[in-house]
Order: sequence, then structure tokens, then C-alpha cells
Amino acid sequence: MVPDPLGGIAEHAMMVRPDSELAGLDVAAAISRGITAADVSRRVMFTDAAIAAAIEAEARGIGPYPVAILARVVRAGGVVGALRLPEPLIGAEPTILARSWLEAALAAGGTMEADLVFSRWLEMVATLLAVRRSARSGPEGADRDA
Amino acid sequence: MSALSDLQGCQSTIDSAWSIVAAPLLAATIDSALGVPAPDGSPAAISAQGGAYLKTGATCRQVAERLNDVAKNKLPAAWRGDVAETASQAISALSDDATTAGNVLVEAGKALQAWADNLGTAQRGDSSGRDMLHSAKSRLGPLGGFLSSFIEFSDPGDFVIAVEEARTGIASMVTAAALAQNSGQATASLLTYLADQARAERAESNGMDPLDAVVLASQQNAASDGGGDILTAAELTRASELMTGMSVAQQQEFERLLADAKSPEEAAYLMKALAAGNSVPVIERFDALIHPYGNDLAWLSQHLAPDLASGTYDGVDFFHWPNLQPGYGYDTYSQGGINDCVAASTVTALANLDPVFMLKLTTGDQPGVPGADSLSSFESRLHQAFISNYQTGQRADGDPGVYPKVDGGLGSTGENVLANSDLGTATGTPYHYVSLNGTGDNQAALSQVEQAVDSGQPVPIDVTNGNDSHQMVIIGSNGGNLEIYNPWGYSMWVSNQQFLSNQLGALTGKAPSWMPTAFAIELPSS
Repeated sequence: MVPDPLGGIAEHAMMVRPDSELAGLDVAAAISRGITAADVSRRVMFTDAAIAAAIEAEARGIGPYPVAILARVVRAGGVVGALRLPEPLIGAEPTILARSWLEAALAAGGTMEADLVFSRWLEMVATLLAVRRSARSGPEGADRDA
Repeated sequence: MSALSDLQGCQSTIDSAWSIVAAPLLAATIDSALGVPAPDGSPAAISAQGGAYLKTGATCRQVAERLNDVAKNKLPAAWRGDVAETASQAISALSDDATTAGNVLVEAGKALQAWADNLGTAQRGDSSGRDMLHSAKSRLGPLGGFLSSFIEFSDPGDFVIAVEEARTGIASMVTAAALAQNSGQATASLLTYLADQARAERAESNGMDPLDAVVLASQQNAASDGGGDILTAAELTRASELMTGMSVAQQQEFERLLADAKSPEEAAYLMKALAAGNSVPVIERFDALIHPYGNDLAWLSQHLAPDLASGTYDGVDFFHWPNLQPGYGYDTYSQGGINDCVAASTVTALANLDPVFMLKLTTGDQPGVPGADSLSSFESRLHQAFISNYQTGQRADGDPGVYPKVDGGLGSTGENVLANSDLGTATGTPYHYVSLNGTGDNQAALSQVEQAVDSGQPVPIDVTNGNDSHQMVIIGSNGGNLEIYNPWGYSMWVSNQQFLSNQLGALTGKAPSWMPTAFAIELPSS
């Protein structure tokens, strides 16, 4: 259920952006742009693209924990190190998805700073996955997760 | 016999061939000389290796300068007293070692490039000498001069020319062989000397006196058979870059840990932990656990870098990795539609990169507790690393309300996505729970919230209407507004003022059931 902001008190009006609007967002391109430029592109990477990535991951059955571990591998060994993993996320489709993100990050970066930015982005995706799961599994979320 | 002495023998024969009757001997000697191999090797490859040494040497010198600056200027400016002096001396020692390494590498690089030049010159000289010998040989005729004095030379002048060519040619080859031999030997001696010098420098800076990057880089892992440095050169570079980016306070704290290390090996693991991207507070906790064993090299090696290939140490079955084939482990732990498993190969990769993670696997961060580092405990933790034990316990209990948990004690303990779950541990970013009890608390937290999200770190936020609660995540900020993601499937921008005054209701529906009040957030601790 997406709330109607105008249904509330007028001065509380807030911009709402449903997840459905992010369907089809080119996550890889957003990663590349966001790593290269630390401005609006970076913010889009960490907000819109991270949400879109979490939804894509969720659709492939990926939980938050393996994404968090992948973030940690990236931080410890760089994007290059993570690309050497045989299964960055378990399963054929998740591996393809993870590699598409990793390759976008590699194309844009190559520096340690870029590795750290991308690692944090993966942590953001993991957090979004976790909070989405908790909302679904909790008694509150069950009937609202439409 | 060396090529040089063989050619010198030929030269002596050729130089003594004055008369036309010596033509057959001349021809045979030319054949012998042509049979001696040319100076071997690729000047281009040697030169490239020399270039690589020069480049690395220059980097070492830069590192040394930076360390020297820390020791001479930054450390004394910010930290006084005996301990500071010790630390300064330690960093100076580190700088000295980096300088030595840089100098050694530069010397070696120069030597290799000189050797490459000489080898190239020798190969060209040898080649032109051979051309002359071939020419001389052809002048001696098809019978090789055997009947030369009677029938082969229509013009005796041809013999004279052949002798001149043979002498010039063999001289050129001898010079080339001498250059190759002498220069090669000199280069090898210099490289040996430089290696000895580097080892000697190392031996002087033993043990307690901390941290010289050079020593660290070459500390061997005791558990591996003659291989496996604790720190790779890439990790050392990474750690150095990360140190440069730290705040002064963090740098000092890390340098203090290095200075207090009981052995270069302990320090090497601290540097490795830094290279793996752990924050200084995390490394501090890590060091508190390993420091009691800082000079027990076998213990360090067993618990921080066990030999995963064999799973044994000193012939005793120790920490043993199970099958690392893709697919291992997840049948057992499949959790319905959501896969929270991690490939064994990924866990292995991370454990090898990050000693903080490895210590958790081998000791459960409880070194010294009897049984904590037993094989069965290790295997149990390893299995937990393949999956997350996050939520699994509660699910096994049949409790559907894992997050958020409405227990009537809102804000007291806090159910956290990050702080209390394995997720926080997994990412390695420590989070802490902050209760919010009104505008004052919100005001105090706001700048930290903005700082966190500006650096790409999510801030979970719990809201309530007094009865129900709900967790969302602050994911962005933009000059006075915060973007908050609601896992019900949308995100919203709210003003800072709305956050401060607990007017967040529209994020969760309509009055009166909406949840306008933030009662807790989770903030990254570093």
C-alpha cells in the first residue's frame, strides 16, 4: 500500500516514490556513474539503484547475508578479488547478477577508493534486503506488503 | 670451458695463421669458433625487470618519506611523553627499513638495466663477428682451403683478406663473450650482495622494536611450508594507502598498536587486518585478543593463517576446511525461498584475506577459553559462516515476528537489523543502537545520521505510534531532507524538521494508525 501524502496533514506532504517506478532501472550503469562521480550520481547509486538491486536480488532468492559477505570480500580483496570468486552469490542466476554489478564497478574504478565505495553499496543493498525481509516476516508487514 | 675461453683458444690459432699453408687450419678453427654458442638471454626482458625494480624502489622511498614525516613531525606534534617517543623511534625504524628496501631495489634495478645494455652490446658484437667469420670462410673456397696453396686461390690476396676478416671477426666475438661473462658475473654478485644487505638490515631490527614495513612484508607464515608471506606486497600497499586516509587520531591509535606489538608477526597481522578494510576500533579489539599470543608464532599462525590446503599443522589434524567444490554446504542449509547461504569458496577467500574473520572462525573470538579452538567448534562456526545464523534460531522456534519484535518494551533493548544481527558482523561495520526520546535526542542524532548516509551507510530507524512499531531505513540526505526507505515498497523524502519533531506519520499510512515517532536509530560506530 502506498500512502497518499495528501491524505495526511498538508504540511506533512512528502514525496513518495513507489518501488515499482524503479523497475527496469539500469543498476550496472548507475554503479558505474556513481563510482565515477561523487555527486548526484553517487546518491542515485546508493538510493534508487540500491533499492532496485535489492528487489532484483530478492526476486532471485538472494538473502541479505551473502550480499553482506560479498561486501566484505570486496572491501578486503577489492572488486578484482571478488570477481575471482567462483560463486560470488550462490546459484547461476545470482552469480550472473553479482558479476554484472562487480564488472560495472571494475569498469568504473580499479582504485581502492572505488572498491570501498562499491563495498558500502553492497552493504546498503544487504541492509535493504534485511529490512524488506523483516517487514514481510513481521506481523505488521504481512498484510501491507502488497 | 666457458664460451670465452673457447673463443680465446680459436683467436690464438687464427692470429698465428700467417702463411697460406695454414689455410686449412684457419678454416677448421673458424668452424670451431662458429660452433660456440652466442651470449644467451633477452635484454628486453631483463631491462623490463630492472624497470619494475626501479619503480617499486621509488614507491618504497615515497613510503619512507611519508613515514619519516609521521615520525618527525606528526607524531611528536600530537602526542608527547615517553610512549610517544618510543612510537616515534619505532616509526623512524620503519621508515629506515623502507628506505633500505627502496635503495636496494633501485640499485638492483640499475644493475639489471646495465646488464641488459651490456648483454645487448655483446649480442650485437658477437653477431657481427660471426658475419665476418662466415665471409672469411667463404673466401677460403669450397674445399675449405685444404688445397689452397696449390689451386684454390687464384689471387693470393684473397687469403690475406680472409685472414684479416677472421682476425677481426674472432676479436669481436671474444670481446662480446668477455663483456657478457664479466658483466653477468658482476650483476649476479651485486644482486647477491644487495640481498645480503637487506637481510642484514632486517636482522638488526629484531623482535619487539616494531614495525618495519620491510620486515612485515617478508614475515613468513609459520604454518605453511616455506611459502606464504603473512602480508603480500599488495596488502602492504593497501594498508599504507588506508593509513594515509585515516584521521590523525586513528593513525596514532593504529601506530600505538603497532608499537606495542610483541613481534613483527603480530604487527604483520595488524597490518593485514587493516588492509582487509577493518576499522581501527575493530583492529583494536582484534589485537586485544591476539596480543597475549603476540610472540607465540605457532599460535598466531595456527589461528590466523592455518594451512587450509592440508588441514594439518605439525602433523596434527587441526582446522580443516571441508570440500570447497561449488555447491558444498547449501543443500543442508537451504531456507525455503530465500537463500542465505554463502559458497564455501567465498568464505575461504574472505578468511584468507581477513585475519579478523579468520580469528572468529578459529576461536570464536575467545582465545584461551578451553575448547574454543577445538576442531568441532571450528567446524560449527564454519557452518555458521556458510549460512547466516541470523534469524534462523528464531525461525526454528516458530516465531514469525523476528523483526521488529513488539515486546512492550519499546526502545529498551531494541531489535536491530544491524547492531544485534549477524548482518552487522558480516559486513564488518559495527553499528550501535541509539534510543530516541524526543526532539532533543533527534537533534543530537541528526548530524550523525546525515554523515552516515552521505558516506553511503544506511541508518535503520524504528518508528512507533505507541502500540505498533516498524523499521525503515534512512538511505539518503540532501540539504535539509532525508530519504527514508519503507520496506512496504516505497521511499519518501522528509524534511529534517519532520524528523526532529517526530512528524513521520505519512511514511506509514494515515492517522490515527500511522507511526509518526522515531524511537530508535542504529548508527555506524566508526
